[in-house]
Amino acid sequence: MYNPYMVGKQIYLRHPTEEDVQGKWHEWFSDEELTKFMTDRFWPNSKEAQLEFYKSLINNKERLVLSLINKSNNEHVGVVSLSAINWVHRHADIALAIGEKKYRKGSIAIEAFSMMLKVAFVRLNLKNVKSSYIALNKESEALHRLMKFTKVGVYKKFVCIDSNNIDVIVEVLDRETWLKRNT
Amino acid sequence: MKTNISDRIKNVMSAVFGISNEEISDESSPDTIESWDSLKHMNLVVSLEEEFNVEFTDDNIIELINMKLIMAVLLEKLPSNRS
Repeated sequence: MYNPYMVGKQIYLRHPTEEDVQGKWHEWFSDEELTKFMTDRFWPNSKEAQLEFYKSLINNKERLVLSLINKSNNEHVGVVSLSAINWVHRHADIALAIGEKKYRKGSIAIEAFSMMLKVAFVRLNLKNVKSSYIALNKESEALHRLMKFTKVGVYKKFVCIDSNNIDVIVEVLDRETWLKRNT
Repeated sequence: MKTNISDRIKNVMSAVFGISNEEISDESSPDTIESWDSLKHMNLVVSLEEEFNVEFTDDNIIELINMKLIMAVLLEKLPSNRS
């Protein structure tokens, strides 16, 4: 393992590297299937844009992006992030992308999301984690039910998917709820 | 007691994965049940929590990958099985 930040059963999380940029990271965010349910990924990504994004993360204390690394073969399989970190009110937005297709049907997404919640509530001592997803995304909906998020709002017909106007769901998980279940 | 729990687990798995109870054994896992993908796994965990009125930790959720492990974790969680 190189520079592990948190180690799980199947994966570990670490800060992204320039090698990640040189790999397939940028291709994931051009992929039609992966970006279908992302609200702001309608433009093709590039290695150059990914490098700029990577550079913006160095010493950034408002956004934490971590690479998901498969422990068994050291493959970079996706990214998970906390963005819009507010150190006064202690909340952030969580997001997850499993880039490598062969890992999308397994439980790595569950483990990565769970580990990032632990980062948020234990290592960063945040109070609330917010998340939003497009209502058609049944995997995201199930993941939020599983992790005991509470639905706090709906942006009605907020995005357009395949020519249909679809709701965006907003959910929040507070630290006490997470601690109660995990201690 | 274990038989009763085993039957209830099988009923939940049968409903979630869309298969008959007879197709489920102690070794049933994502490798043997084709429909056991990540979405169905999440549905399985939530359905087990509702059926047994328990709450799994995040670590438990990753562990529940076959019938035998589900039984072991549930036996630890259910009040009548705690020492």
